[in-house]
Amino acid sequence: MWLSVYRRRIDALIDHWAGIGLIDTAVAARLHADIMPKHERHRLPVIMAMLGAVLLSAAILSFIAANWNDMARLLRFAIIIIAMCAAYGLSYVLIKRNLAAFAECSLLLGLVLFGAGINRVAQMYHITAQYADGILIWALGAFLLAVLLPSRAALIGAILLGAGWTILESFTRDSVHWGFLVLWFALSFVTHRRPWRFERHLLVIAIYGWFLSNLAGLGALLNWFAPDYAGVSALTGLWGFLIAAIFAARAYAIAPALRIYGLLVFLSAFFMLPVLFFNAGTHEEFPVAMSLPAPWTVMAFALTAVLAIGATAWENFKTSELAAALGLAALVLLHPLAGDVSHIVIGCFFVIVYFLIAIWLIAYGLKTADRGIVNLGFIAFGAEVLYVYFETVGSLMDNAAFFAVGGILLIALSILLERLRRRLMVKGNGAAA
Amino acid sequence: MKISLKQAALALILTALLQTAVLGAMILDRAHRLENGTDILLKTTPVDPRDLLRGEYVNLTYDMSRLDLSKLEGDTVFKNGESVYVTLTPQAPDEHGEILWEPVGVYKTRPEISGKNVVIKGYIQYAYEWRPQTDPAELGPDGVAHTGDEPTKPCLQDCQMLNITYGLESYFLPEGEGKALEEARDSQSLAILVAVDDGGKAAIKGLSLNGKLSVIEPLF
Repeated sequence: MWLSVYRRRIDALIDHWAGIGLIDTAVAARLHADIMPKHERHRLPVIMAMLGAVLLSAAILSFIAANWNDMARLLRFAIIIIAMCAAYGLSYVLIKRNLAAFAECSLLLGLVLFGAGINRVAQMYHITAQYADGILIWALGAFLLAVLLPSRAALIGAILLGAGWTILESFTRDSVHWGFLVLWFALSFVTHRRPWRFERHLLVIAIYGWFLSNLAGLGALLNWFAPDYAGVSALTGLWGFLIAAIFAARAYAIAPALRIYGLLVFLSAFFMLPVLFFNAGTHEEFPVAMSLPAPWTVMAFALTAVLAIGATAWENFKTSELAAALGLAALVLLHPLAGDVSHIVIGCFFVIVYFLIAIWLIAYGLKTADRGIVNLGFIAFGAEVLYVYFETVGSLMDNAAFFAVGGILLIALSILLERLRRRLMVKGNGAAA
Repeated sequence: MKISLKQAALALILTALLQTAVLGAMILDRAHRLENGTDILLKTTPVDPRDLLRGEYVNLTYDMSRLDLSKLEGDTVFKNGESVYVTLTPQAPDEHGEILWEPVGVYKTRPEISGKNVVIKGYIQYAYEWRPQTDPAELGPDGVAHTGDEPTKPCLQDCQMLNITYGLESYFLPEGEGKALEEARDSQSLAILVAVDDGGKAAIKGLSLNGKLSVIEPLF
């Protein structure tokens, strides 16, 4: 229908051009003939045949569904295999006809049927293995397709299924699920060779998902409390950011995704540290500072130093940025040495550092023309302002005044930050944000 | 990223073949276990009555699904998600003349088996301390701890309880046929015939209701 509307429009344009003398009538006639659909007179039989095929498919599916339980198992297995192969066969036909998007849909259908096949075979033959193993087999099937064909659907499926596999495994075990890293690196290799940005973001989210889902198990084993989780998460985010800086210098395509999610993890985790200090009095039985053993502290600091020096050596970082990275790692790891210093004082110090980080991010984002980092800096700044407001002013006013002042401040802050962000973006890019 | 039609065809054929092979291997592996494994009979235990019949399958649990390490031989400290090997030994025939198998030991690696024992492999869902370790100083001269209201058997070392799955916890049935099986399970008149291969992997081979083998699973 849309094609015929488009053709009518083209026909009208051709007539207009002929009318104003841009083209002569002979050329206009040839143009009209060229855009005429070749098989238009055969449309009705084609439509009827397609409808007939849809009805036939519906009849077959209904028959199968009604008699599924009465069919022999091998027949059911054969139906599953035939359906899966038919989906792959259809995708070949669609690739041949240059219908790439439809071919991807058919590939996805084939993968879904493979997953359904694993489930159905397990059910038919009472194979109740670990649920995560079935997800892994499915993920490997998708990975195989992603390796052999430039299929976005297969690659996205492999990444999502791999992430699902590791999350399921981490729920059932007390140890770290290292096996996921093998799959992740294999997926990274495939993704690196493809020009797709969304898949790289998905890959980075998957590795941070692995880290976070295994962090709980690791923490339970090592008897961590909240500050340890927050501190280690902050460090991991910082390491991701530093690795991204090194990768960016080598033009690895995954660098932008790694940078933004590393920053997100770092900012979210670092935000929690002053919260823990300010609320130290409410849960006195729990520690408020990190409690990593000394060897771990040294290793974590050494890793930060290696990555920061690497980022500087590849000329992406200035010496001041190197010092800042080392300073942040030292602050996260060594603040327990503050000893008897008031928790409020330490919390305030962390808040000030957080504001400085947010401001630095805005400047860094402008310098590297990365709008995402600029926006993240503004969000971090605004979030910390709100937190400070809630933590300080909240206890001084009654509820109505608190919410009224808070609402006005929030609106004013959002307008101010947005204006400032746009002005800085325009200055940085020479174009409207 | 363009590829030729020939490459696309080869890729799709290879994918279809390998994925079909994987699904076929699942069936063949089970068939091999049914045909060549050692047959053992396991008594089912009642399942929490709040569990509803989910869709088309019946939940099954066994005596070996929940193991008290203080009563068993073998290793003593386990973690969630670990694989374990449970040694089973045949009991004396019951009132129906059936020989049921009971757990006698739990190990982290496959142990050498003797006599008629069979080793089955499982995975720990949940390992937990279920009785605090008894202070030896609290033991009386009779070897019993008298710290609570009633004397208790001391739990000096093996104080873990393990919840284990063996891949035998579900039996799939056509819609509407599960109720009778659930009732038999809950009245403890249902036993499951299981085939165990040399590696310890098991597969459901049949069902025994009130001492009579009522269902035998075909190989294919």
